[in-house]
Amino acid sequence: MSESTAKLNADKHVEYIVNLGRAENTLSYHLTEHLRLNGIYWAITSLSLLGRIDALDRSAVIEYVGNCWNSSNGGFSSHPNHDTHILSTLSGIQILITLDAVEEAKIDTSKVVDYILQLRPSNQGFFTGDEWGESDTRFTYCAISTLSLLGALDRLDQVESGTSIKQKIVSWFTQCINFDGGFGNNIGAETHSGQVFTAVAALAIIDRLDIIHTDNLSWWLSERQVQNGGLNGRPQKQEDVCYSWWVLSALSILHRLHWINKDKLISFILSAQDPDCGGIADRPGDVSDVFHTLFGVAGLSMLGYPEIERVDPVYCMPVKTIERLGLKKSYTLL
Amino acid sequence: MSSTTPINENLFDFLIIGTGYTQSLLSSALASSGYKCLHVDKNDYYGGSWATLPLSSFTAPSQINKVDNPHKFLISLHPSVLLTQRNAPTQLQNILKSSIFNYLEFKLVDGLVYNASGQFTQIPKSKQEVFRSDINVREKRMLMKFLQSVSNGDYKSGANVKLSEFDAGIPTKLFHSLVFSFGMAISLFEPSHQVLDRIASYLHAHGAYGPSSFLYAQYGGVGDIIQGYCRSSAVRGTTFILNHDIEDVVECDGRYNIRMSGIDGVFNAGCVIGHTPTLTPFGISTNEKRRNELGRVVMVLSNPPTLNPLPESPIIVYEPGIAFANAVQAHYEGASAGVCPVGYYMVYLVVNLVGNERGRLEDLFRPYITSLIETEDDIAFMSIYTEEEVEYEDVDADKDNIHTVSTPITVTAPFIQPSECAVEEAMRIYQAATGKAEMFAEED
Amino acid sequence: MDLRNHAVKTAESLDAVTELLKINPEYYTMWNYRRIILLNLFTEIGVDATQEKLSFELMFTLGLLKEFPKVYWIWNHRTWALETLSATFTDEQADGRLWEWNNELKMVDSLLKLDSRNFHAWGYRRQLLTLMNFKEDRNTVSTFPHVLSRDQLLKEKQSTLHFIENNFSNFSAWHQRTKILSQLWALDGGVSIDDLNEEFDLVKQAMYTDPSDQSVWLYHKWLIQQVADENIVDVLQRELESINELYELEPESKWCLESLAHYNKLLHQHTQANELLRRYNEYLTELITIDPDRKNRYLDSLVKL
Repeated sequence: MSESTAKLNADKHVEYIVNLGRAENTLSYHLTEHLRLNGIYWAITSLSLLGRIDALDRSAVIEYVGNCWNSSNGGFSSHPNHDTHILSTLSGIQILITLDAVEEAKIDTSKVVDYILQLRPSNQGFFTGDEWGESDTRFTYCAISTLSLLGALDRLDQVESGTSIKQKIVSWFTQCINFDGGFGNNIGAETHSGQVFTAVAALAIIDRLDIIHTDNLSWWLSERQVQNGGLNGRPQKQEDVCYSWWVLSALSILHRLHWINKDKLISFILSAQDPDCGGIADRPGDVSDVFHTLFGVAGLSMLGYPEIERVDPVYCMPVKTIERLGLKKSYTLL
Repeated sequence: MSSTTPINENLFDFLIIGTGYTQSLLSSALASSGYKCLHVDKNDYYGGSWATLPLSSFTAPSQINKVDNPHKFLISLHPSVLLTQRNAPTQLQNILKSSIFNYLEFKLVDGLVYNASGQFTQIPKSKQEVFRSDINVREKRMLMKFLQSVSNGDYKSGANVKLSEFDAGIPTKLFHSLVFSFGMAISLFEPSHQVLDRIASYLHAHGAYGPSSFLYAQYGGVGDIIQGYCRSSAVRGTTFILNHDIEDVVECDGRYNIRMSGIDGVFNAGCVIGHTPTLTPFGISTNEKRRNELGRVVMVLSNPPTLNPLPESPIIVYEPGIAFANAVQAHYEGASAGVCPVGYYMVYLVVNLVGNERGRLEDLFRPYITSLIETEDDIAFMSIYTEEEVEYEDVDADKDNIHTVSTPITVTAPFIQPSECAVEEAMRIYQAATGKAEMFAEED
Repeated sequence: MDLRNHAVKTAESLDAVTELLKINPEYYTMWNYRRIILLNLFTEIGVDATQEKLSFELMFTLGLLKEFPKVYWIWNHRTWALETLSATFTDEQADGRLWEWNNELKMVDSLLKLDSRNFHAWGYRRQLLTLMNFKEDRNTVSTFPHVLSRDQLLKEKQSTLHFIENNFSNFSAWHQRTKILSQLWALDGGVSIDDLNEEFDLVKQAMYTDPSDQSVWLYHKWLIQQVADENIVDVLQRELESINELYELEPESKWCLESLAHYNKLLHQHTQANELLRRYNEYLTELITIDPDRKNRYLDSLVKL
């Protein structure tokens, strides 16, 4: 690490994340109900990678996640009493699996599987976020990841009008591919690093990376690194710590993680740490948040930064958890 | 009342002679710092050689005069625009700090137009303009590279030579179009740093207040700015006496007793500020340092200048050598600037004269005028005249209560540089006279 | 929240929801509730009143989007409102529908003026163009850009040019252009060399203006992909020459080198001239020095001669 002697301030970050859970009386706490369950997933995963999963009250978390589960439709909502959505459903499952608490939370996983499956419009190869029908590659990833984590991937083998659901999914992703090898959030949409991750990881889970032009896409992904070492999401855009996750995970699955400058990226992520309050921001000098904290830590993990647990680039969960489930795919970490 | 002892209300900290740009800005700055000022001008209008006057009061001889309502047309004796740099000690900074902008309205001057080989063109200044322009790709690259290096100030490490000797690494024609348009140079004998600095300022200024690098003060340009300073000075207690000359001066205990012609009583001032020739009653001698002659044209056109579809009110730069040896610069404003009725345009041309050009002004200006009009009938008013500028030796070194306002001669960029110099001169004198570093520092 | 829990679906509850969403437009549950209330109201009021309510939804979300241009849920709701409104127009109201769509196009362009890279706005734009052509016959393919008419494609081509002329670093516009032209050329049964050359010239202007802008090189890469086999050798040779000239002016330009390397290799695939591969390796070696961050990529790409 040539230009920076900065170190990961792990203790501060743990303190920052734990304090977030104590802010229940603040306005911002209430304004962020819509992503509370995502927030807990980001927090749990960050703590887990930092080796401090014990810092949050396990049983309280499990109880809260249980309260977010809607036993009538099988999905999770972001907060008790809110509507269910595929984004919170994946987060709910990820939290419970990381804590190895699916049974403890008394969730009927077969209902969760059914909830996911009915979010696919008939005959289509994509999933929607909820019953209102918004489509986005993100949701298809959420669906595939959730089904995989719950051991229900075989449900995609079901045949409908002559082709399996899995084939429909592959065909839909194929239509989303742009000339630069990447994916946008829909057919016709511009390639975006975040959407590239969701497509690459989803295809990795269903073992269909063959539809990707690996060198072409990896070339595009490695061009996301800008002069100061950070990564951006699209050409001619500003760098942001969260792309340390989206870009690196895809490169890792494509076995091209070494195509960017690791040391410069590590320096960039570390420079976005908040030295006073802890946490990591989108870029140096900005206010930190738990989303960027996770994706900064996860980025460092893939780059082999010392004393961070390994993160699985397909599921964004600790490698040891994914290994426990027997779901590990092929990828390269540094 | 013929007593030589002034009464109390006639005691002043400063006597300011003349209401040119430097004096008016000083008047406002000194008044806002709490100094008591007496500000006099022998003319019955504000601004001196910087004034904006109704056509009816314009005294230079006219070659054409078909205007029916001359009081509806405002002529600027010193047409000027403001460069909108944000962080330099420019005119604009003082206008903002002094709060006289409350009295003023500004409009954007649309841009620079360059005339070479008989063609009007707009030189592209931004990446997008370069991209859209129809110059060849090789020149596009060179132009971008040069603009970037000028914008970054990279040339500063090189030698400061004359423009004619500067190696810009781009085709000469392209380089000339930049130094004469963006740099507003008048000849290739100008020092390169001065012109390149101005190009950099021009590039940086673009976009600061909209899609232009220049602002024009509505209703008469710099003349209106000067009125604004005088007004703000008066509001803060300055006594103004216009239309009266200084009759005699007596020095007494390091102060001055001043008598104004036609006014009873004696005014007493501790300190005097004025242009060198107005200070002879105070014992200041006038030793000429250098002299410059400007050829000026002011026209009223009854049809828009024939630049369409080019900008509504540009600054036009004609390459040197078309008729005059130096670059001729032009500017025009219409009814949108509040200077004339709808349908008319006030057009100004200015050039630094060399050799015997003075004797042939009308002939020499002809091609420039022709380039702007459809037919001769479009000219409702035209005056072609000469303005002499004299710079005097600085002789106030031994008297620290007399500050001579030097008016540097126009050596470059006639629409920009003289007014910038006038403001810098005011800042210099303010420091010398008060010991304070910054004008209007007390205000927000 | 209480209102929602008690399944209240009245006009009054709608106002309360409006206020709540103004404060927190991320509150997706409230957007859902809002749609439930509206759908319920529509069963009670006439078509005119329904259209009026939906027009309000468009206005309301536009206001929010100006303040929160990146909130998924607002875009989502707007899409719903537009789709629902479109469906209410009868055949006699075709003009009204057209007006509404053109209005939407203006609205989304005004948001793109504020941020020309906003992918929500671009996505919405594509959805809108798709919707404009939506045929009642649901069996036809209704995805962008296949659904667009030739006229619409020509209009879009012009509009992407407009975006590019305003800022050619706007890769979103170049991307859109790749989609539009692909479809236009497909409709025409192939692309003429003149049409291609027009594009090559456009991109050349940008390339020379700012060779460090990767949007331009990406578009160039796409253009090369569009060249038919019978022309590819000529086009590659011409483009290599032009890039080489630029490279002489800009010997430090990574993108020149990168493209020279890439196109030499591509030309080799068509001509099998080994000299081209040797050059390819030379360019990569130079790139290792000029762009050390991606050193390993270049090392991996070297070919054995």
